[in-house]
Amino acid sequence: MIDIPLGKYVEIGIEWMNVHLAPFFEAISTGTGAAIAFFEAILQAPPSWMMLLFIAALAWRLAGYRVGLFCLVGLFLVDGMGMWLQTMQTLALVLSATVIAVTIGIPLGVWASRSDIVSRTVRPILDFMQTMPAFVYLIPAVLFFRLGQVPGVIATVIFAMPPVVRMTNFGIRGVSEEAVEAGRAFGASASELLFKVQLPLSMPTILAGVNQTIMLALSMVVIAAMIGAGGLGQEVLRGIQQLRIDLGFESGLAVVILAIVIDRITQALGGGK
Amino acid sequence: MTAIVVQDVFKVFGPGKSIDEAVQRARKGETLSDIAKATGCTVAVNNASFEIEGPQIFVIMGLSGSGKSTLLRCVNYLLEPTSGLVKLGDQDLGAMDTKSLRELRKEKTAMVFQHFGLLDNRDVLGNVGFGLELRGVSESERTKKVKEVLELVGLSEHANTRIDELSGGMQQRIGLARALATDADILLMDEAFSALDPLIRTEMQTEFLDLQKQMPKVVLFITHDLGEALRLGDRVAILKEGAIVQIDTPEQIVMNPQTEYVEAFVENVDRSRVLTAGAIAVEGDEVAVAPDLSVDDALNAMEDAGSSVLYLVEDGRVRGIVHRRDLDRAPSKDNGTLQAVAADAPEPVHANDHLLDVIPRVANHEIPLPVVDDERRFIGLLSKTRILQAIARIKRHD
Repeated sequence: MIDIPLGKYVEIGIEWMNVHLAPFFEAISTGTGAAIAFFEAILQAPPSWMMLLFIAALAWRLAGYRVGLFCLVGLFLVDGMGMWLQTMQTLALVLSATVIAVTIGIPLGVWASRSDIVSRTVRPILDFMQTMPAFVYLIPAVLFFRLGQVPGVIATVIFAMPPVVRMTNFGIRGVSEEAVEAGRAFGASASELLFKVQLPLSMPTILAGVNQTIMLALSMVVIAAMIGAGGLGQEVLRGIQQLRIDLGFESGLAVVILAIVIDRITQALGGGK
Repeated sequence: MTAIVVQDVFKVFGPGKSIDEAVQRARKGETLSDIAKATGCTVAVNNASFEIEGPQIFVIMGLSGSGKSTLLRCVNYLLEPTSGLVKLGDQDLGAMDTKSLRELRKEKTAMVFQHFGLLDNRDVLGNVGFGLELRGVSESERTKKVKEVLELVGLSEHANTRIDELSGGMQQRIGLARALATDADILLMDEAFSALDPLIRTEMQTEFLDLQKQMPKVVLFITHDLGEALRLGDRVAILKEGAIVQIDTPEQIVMNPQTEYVEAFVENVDRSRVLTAGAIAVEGDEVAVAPDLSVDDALNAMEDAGSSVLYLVEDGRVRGIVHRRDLDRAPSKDNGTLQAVAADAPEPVHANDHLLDVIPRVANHEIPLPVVDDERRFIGLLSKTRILQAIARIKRHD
């Protein structure tokens, strides 16, 4: 058999990039770090009971009293288990990753919707991004950004971005042709068409994509604890490493509660049930 | 100034390099299937020309695939014609850049779509004001205008209703209102009523005709329904395989179809709904006499015309009627005039009335009824026989 040292070449490539693109990675790192710090500051500033009530009230208003009640009880339990700080850390990571993924993903989706070439190019890349085992992303993230929250968020962005790109592309392409034609017939320019017709009409689909992106981000952020991203993932990891059933259960439960809370609230935002 | 000029317009879809060849072949009169075989191109509009002078409803009627929707989109350059001239007013659209075309669409034309083309995420207000919003009209002015137009289409109650809560007929009223709100002179209607239930469709047609009377616009109306074309159109163009085969008034289309294709189309039309009294009225000069005619002359006139009545016509107006039996009772045959024995003439038939509407009245009179034009001038007679002939498609023998 022929020996193909593909891994070696990739390593050489990454090392080359590390040397020559250092300022670029530095800029990304600083930006991402700032985003994380921003969300952490906001989420950790109020005392837990205040934040808890706020989230429950928000859920109540957006998704009805049942969800509100669940948030109240669930988050109370999280606080009671002593997982509040870690939960807020995780939430900060999820929000940072989501904001970055959406900021890149929606324009990319819009671009793909307007050009078949872009769409055909982007699709296999998205497929690749989604089918790779999640923790494989940790390797380049570590190589470029070392350990900590920043590489965690960056790996998460890559892992979580495909749905919002896909759904934006899909949603805009699905806008009724007559509505688009009506826009053109009344003299809309390309950007007016996008912002007054296509984006508003595909918003439910795009928000469904954002919801999926958020859920993927949560699952990835937990895994990113392996490279020191902290938060609930770190507790899960400790539970595994130290074979501590209590810690493993509590942190795992906190992840589930957080997942349900985020999912219900964002689904309600998207006009779902 | 002519509102719309469409001259020698071709629209060909297909691989770029063969498009010119396809146009050449179409000009030579090759059939579309031959052209498609030779070049791989589809000729959607084949040398179409028409002009619309001023406010009127101009209907383009054709079956699906006849290129009527494509032709409509050439008029506001949503589709650029492959060759040919399109002018709206004095503006040659082919000479305009994208930006001025957009301005033109904002100011001069408005469009109504088969499936309404509304924005479901907005309420009625937001939809009707859409054209004005693109034009940069302030929100308060928009709301004012929208309320006015909603009044016109009978939906003023629904300004804040969501689109998906409205029935199809109501949605199309919104589509119409959106087009009317921009005050554009030219209305392009693409199968506007085709998606509606038959009853609602008829209702919308009636309302649309009323609206057109209230504020006449240049309307280019596309339909595949001949009945609709004949009912709405001031003029009707019949489209076959991208080419216009006949442009005429509805009556002329029905009475004088110029090709077998058109003839086959109009065969099953309910002619009493299309033909007007004026179009089939028989000239009445022989029985129209001056009121001061002497009784003797009147008797002669009756004999010559083979008629038992005479209409007294003065300055083009019908003043009365004289029956043969009354002449015998006339006071003095020698110097009396007809006025003495004249009776009130039956209420005349209006030239624009459709046969369907006048048949009951004509049927109830033994004598032919007088037909008058818009200014109530006497233009002819309408008899039962004449109506039957027209409906039975017997050409006039005069």
